[in-house]
Amino acid sequence: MKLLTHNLLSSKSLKGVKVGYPLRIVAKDVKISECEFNKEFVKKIIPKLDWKVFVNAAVEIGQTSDLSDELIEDYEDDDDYLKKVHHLLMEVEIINGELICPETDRVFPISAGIPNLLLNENEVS
Amino acid sequence: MIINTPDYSISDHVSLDENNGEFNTSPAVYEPAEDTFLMLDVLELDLEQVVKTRLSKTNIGSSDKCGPLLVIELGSGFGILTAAISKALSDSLSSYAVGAHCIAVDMNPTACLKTIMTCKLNGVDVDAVRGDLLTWMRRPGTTDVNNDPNKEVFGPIDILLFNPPYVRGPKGELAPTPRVTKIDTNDQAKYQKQVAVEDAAWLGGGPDGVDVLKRALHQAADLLSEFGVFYALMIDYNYDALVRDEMQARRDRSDQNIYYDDLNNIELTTFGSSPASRPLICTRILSRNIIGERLAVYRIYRPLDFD
Repeated sequence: MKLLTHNLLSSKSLKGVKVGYPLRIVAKDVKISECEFNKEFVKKIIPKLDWKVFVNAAVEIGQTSDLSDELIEDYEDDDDYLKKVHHLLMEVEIINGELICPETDRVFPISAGIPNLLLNENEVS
Repeated sequence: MIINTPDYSISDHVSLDENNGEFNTSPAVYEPAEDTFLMLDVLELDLEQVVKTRLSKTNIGSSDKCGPLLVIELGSGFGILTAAISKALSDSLSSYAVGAHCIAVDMNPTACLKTIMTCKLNGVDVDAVRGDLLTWMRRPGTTDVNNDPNKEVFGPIDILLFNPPYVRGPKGELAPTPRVTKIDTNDQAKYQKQVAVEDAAWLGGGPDGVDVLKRALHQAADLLSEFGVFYALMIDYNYDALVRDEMQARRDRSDQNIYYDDLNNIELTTFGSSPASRPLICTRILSRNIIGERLAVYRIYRPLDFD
């Protein structure tokens, strides 16, 4: 699972959960696989992201980066910056670990790169 | 535009990395069949047009390419559709879209793995989520406290694909409730039952075969982007049931506007949670007779503003 997908996940469907976003990450195995830098893609995905959630998630899984909580203003022309974002969004993959609901601490396991977000019948709101 | 049928392997060798005792063998995954290929033909027929004339409406300024597009397939099974669309968007449609992020969803963990394998086989990289339809997804506006209830809310999904369990159960069974059952491997009877439910991936559409599709429509109405499209496969009586329910809903609220003059189009007004949302249009793109069934794929979308 890539951080781009994590940016969309929520535990809102759990009974009693108000927002359920963002899910905390505990990463046991992280894989880095190179993929081609698509500048246009990265440039145009940035406004669609919850930026703070993305930056915090990168820190949570131990990917130290110097991206700050605030998106810089002129990122569109800053190739180094865009490459860093590309790396964290597209090349870093969580293989094994856990996602945790911020309100209930319900754990969703990630195995073989696939997060399991199925709920039990009695957990559904 | 040509969409090639992706390569896939029907070998049973799927490595499962489940250490929690939930499964000791792989549940069966629905193999590609006529319905899968009908969906592929629809993508070939309709996708280019949709990308060029609808999804490109979001283009900002001088940029002439749309995207990145968020593509989600529900019940991906072997992952044929996800592989095909991911390849098409990064390949033949790359002059119209900057790229796509594709997520395949299935309740069956073996299907999630199969999908990833099929995509790898075809040189595309997608994420898989084990989940129930779109229940795992962040809702638009949930973090925005100043939400205006009269404002139309759009989600992030640009293209949604669903080849649902569309067949009536023999006894009109309701769709099996999605759940994770911890299986004691000593309890063979229980285990067999679980496997039977997973095997019948094509069953369980409820009495009209549309229960699962209707749940997906409710979620999609909130999560589709403004110009997003939802391709859904239906058998003839699924569509009839949707039409019947729509007519009933209009009668119930004394909507005088009860007509539909075109059997291939209907306005769906009962889906989604925002009262401000425009109704969804459901248009037939392609249909085909196969033995004993008439299948059709519909594109479900919001009408464009003409003002």
